[in-house]
Amino acid sequence: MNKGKVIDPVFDKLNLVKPNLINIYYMEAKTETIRLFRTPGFCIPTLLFPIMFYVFFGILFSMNKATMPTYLMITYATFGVIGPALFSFGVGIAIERGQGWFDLKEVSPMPASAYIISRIVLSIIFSLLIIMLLFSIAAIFGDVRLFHSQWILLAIILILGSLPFCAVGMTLGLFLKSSSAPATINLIYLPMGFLSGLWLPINFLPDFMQSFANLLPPYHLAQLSLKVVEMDIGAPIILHIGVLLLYTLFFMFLAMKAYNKKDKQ
Amino acid sequence: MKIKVFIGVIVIAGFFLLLPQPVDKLQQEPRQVSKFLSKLNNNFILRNVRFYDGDVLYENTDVLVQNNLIAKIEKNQNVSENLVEFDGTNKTILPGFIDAHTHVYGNALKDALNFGVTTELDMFTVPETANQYQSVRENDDNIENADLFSSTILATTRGGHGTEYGLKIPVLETTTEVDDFVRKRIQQGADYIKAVYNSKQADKQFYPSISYEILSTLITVAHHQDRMLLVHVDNLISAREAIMLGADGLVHSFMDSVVDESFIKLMLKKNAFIIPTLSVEASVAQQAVGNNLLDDENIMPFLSNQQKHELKAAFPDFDIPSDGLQNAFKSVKKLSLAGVKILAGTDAPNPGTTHGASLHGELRLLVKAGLNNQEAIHSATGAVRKAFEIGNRGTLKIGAKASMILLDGNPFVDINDTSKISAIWKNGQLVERFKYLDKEPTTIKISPSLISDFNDSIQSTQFGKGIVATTDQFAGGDSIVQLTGLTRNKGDGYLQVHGEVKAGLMFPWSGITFLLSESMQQGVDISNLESISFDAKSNTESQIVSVLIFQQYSFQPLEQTLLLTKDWQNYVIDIKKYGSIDLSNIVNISIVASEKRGDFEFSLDNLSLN
Repeated sequence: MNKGKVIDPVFDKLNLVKPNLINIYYMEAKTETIRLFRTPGFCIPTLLFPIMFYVFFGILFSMNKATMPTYLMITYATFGVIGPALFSFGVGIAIERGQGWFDLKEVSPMPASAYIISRIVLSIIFSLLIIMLLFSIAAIFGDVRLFHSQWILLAIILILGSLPFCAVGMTLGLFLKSSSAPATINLIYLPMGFLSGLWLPINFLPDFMQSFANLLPPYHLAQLSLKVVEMDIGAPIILHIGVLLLYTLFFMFLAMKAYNKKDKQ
Repeated sequence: MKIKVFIGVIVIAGFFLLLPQPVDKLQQEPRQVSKFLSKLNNNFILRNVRFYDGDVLYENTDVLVQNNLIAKIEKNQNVSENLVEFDGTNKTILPGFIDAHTHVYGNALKDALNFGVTTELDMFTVPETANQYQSVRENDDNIENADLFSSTILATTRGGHGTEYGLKIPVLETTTEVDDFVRKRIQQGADYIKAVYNSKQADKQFYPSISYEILSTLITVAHHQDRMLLVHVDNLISAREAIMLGADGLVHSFMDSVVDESFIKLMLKKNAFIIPTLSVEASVAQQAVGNNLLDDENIMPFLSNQQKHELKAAFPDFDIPSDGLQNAFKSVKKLSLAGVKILAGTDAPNPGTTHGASLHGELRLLVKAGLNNQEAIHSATGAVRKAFEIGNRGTLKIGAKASMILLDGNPFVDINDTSKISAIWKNGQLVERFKYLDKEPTTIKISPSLISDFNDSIQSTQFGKGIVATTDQFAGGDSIVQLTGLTRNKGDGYLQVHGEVKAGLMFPWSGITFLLSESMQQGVDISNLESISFDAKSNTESQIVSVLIFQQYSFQPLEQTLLLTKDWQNYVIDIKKYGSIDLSNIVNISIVASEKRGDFEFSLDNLSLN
C-alpha cells in the first residue's frame, strides 16, 4: 500500500497510481471518527447514559447483589450499542442532508458504500468502547464474574446485534428533517429501551408490557445476550435472531426506497 | 495503519482476557467476615450485647473472652485499652448449638459447624468414623469440625431397624450376649448406648425388635458400666416400657398417640428426657420441611450441593395418619409444660434433613409445637448439658470454652433469627463460614453411543472410567464375582459374569458396574438419551438380573429387573419411563444378580446407551 502518497493532498494531485479503494474506506472512517469524537453532543450522551444508569440501578441501588449486576450489565450494554447505531446513522445523516454535505459526498468519486461502511465501523468502535467501559465497571464494582468465552461471546453478539439498528438509523436519517432528527430519535431510543426491559429487568414490567416487548428489536437483542449467562426468559434463539433479521431487511428496504425517492427529487 | 489496527486488536484482546472469571466451580468461597469481626479471636470483649448462657438471658451486658474462655459477664467492664472491643447492640450471643440426634459420616461435622452447631451427639455410625473425631474433641485447635459424642453401633436384633442400611453390624438375639455387646461398644468408644426397641404390644411391627428382657438387661449392664442407655421408639407403648425399665431418654417422639398423664408422671419421676426429632418425624409424615430451609436466604447460600440434595429428599410414603405429626407436636407441648427435659435433635442426614441447617429448622418446629422461644433455644444448649456428660458444652458460664454464635437479631422474639449468623466462634476462635456458589457443577452430557462391545477389553469402555466388578463386600457382605472375556462366533468378544450371591445382608448383590465419569465427584447427564441396551443370555435355563441406575448422592437407584434366557437376546431398557431419578446427574449403571442366593452366571455383549 502506498501510504504517504495518498494521504498527502499535494502528492495526491500528482499521483499517477490508481486510487486505492481500501484507503478511501479507511480515510472516510478515520475522518468520521475524529469528527464524532470532537462532537461532545454525540459522544457524551452515548457513552455516559448507559454507564450512569448502570451504576445507579445495577450497582448502587441493586436489589439483588448476586444477579442484578450481571443482568443489568448486559441490558445496559444492549442499550449502549443501540445508541451509536441510531445516532451516528440517524442524526448524522439527517444533519448532513440539511447541510448539503450528504449531496456533496454523493457526487464525489467516493463509492456510496464507503459512506455506509465508515459509519458502521464507527458505531462498532463506539459500541466496543461502551462494552469495554461497562464490563470493566461491572467486573470491578459489581463483582461480575464470567468465563472468558462468555465475556467475548457477549461482546460479539452485542456488536453484531447493533447492525439492525444501523439500518433503522439509516432509514430515520433519510426520512427525518435535520432539525427534528435528534429529538425524534431520542423519543424513540429512550422509551424503546425502557419498554424492551433494558433499564429494569423485563419481568418487573406488567404482563401486557412484557408481551408488547416482543415487537421491539432491542428486547430480542437483550434476550439473545442474556442467553449467554442463562438469564433469559427461555424463548428459542431462532425467534430472536429471526425478528432481528426481519427488522434489518425491512429497514434496509425502507432506506433504499427513501434514498431512491430523494434521488428523483 | 496496519500497525495501529494490530495494536488495537491486541489491546482489545488483552482487555477481554483480563476480565475476571468465576472461581473454580467446586471451590468454596470463604465468607467475607467483616474486617473488624476477624480481629475478635482468643481475647476480646463484646459490649452491650444480648447474652444467653444456656440457662439465663442477660438483656444488655458485656462479655469478656480471655484465652478462649468466657472470663467475665458484667455490664461496663473496665478492660485494658489494647483489647479488641465489639459493640453488639441489637445483636445476640448464644452458646454454640448442640444437635442431640444425628448420624455422622462424610462432611457432617463441617456442615454442622458452618451453621453454628458446635457439638453433635451421634446415634449410630461406624466406630472408625466416630473415633477420629472423638479423639480430638478436647483440643482447642479443633475448629474445623463440630465436637462429636457417639453411641457408635446401635443395639438391635437380626433384621431389626438399623440393619437395613447395608452395614454389617453385630446384633442381639439373647440376653446372654448383652454383657459382651456393651463391653465391645465401650471398647470401641461409645459415649452412651443406643437401642432400638418396639414392644410386642405395639400395633405395628415394621421390623423385628430386641425383646423386653434384652432391653432390660441392656439398661442394667449399661448403667453398671456407667453409660446412659437411650432408646429409639416409634410408639407410646414401647416408650412407656423403656422408661419404666429405666432408660435415660428417648431419641424420637412418636406419632401414634398423644402422651397421657401417667406417662408424663413417669418421665418426671425417672427424670428421663426426650429428643423429639420433629424434623425427621415431619419428613416421615411427608411434610417437606427441608424446603423451608432451602427458601431461607440466610441458610441457602451456606448449603453444599449434597446438603441441598439431602433437604430435597423424601421418605417413601408410610401412610402415617394425617394427625400423626400433630400427635407428636401435642406430646412435645404437654411434656414441656410438665417440665420434662426436651432436647433438640434432627436425625440428620435422613431424607429431608441435613447437618447444621436442620437444627435451625428443628427449633422452629419446637416453637410451632408450643415451646416458647427461650425453651426451644434452651433445648439445643443448656438442656443438653444437663442431660449428657459433655463438659461445659451448650453453656457459656464463666470458665466455659467460648463456643458461641453472634446473631444479627433477637431469636427470643423471632425464632427464625437463629439463622441470621454474623459470626461463629469455636473454642474462642472465629470460624470462617463456607459459602457455596449458586451453580451446580456442570455435568458432562453423553450422546448416544456404544459403551463396550467387549472385543478388545472387558474393562475399558468407549467413555467413562470403565466396567468393574461390584459386590456387597462393599457393605460388609460376602458375595463374590468374577469377570471373564470370552468369544462367540467369529471372534466376537463378550463378557461373562460368574459369581455367587451369599446371604448375610438384607440386600445382597453381585455383578458389574459401569462408572460413567472419570471421577465419582462428578455425575454424567444422560437425560437426553432414550434407553440402555445390551445383548445378554443366562448360562442356566434362566437368570434374573437387575439393572440399576444410580444418581449422585443417592442410594435409591432406578431399578429394572429382567429375566435372561439361555439364548442371546437383545434387551432395551427405556430410561425415560422410570423417571423417578434425576437423569442429569448419574454416576453409575450396574447389572447385578441379587434376587436369589447362590451361584449365577450370565453373559453380556454390545452394551450401549441410545
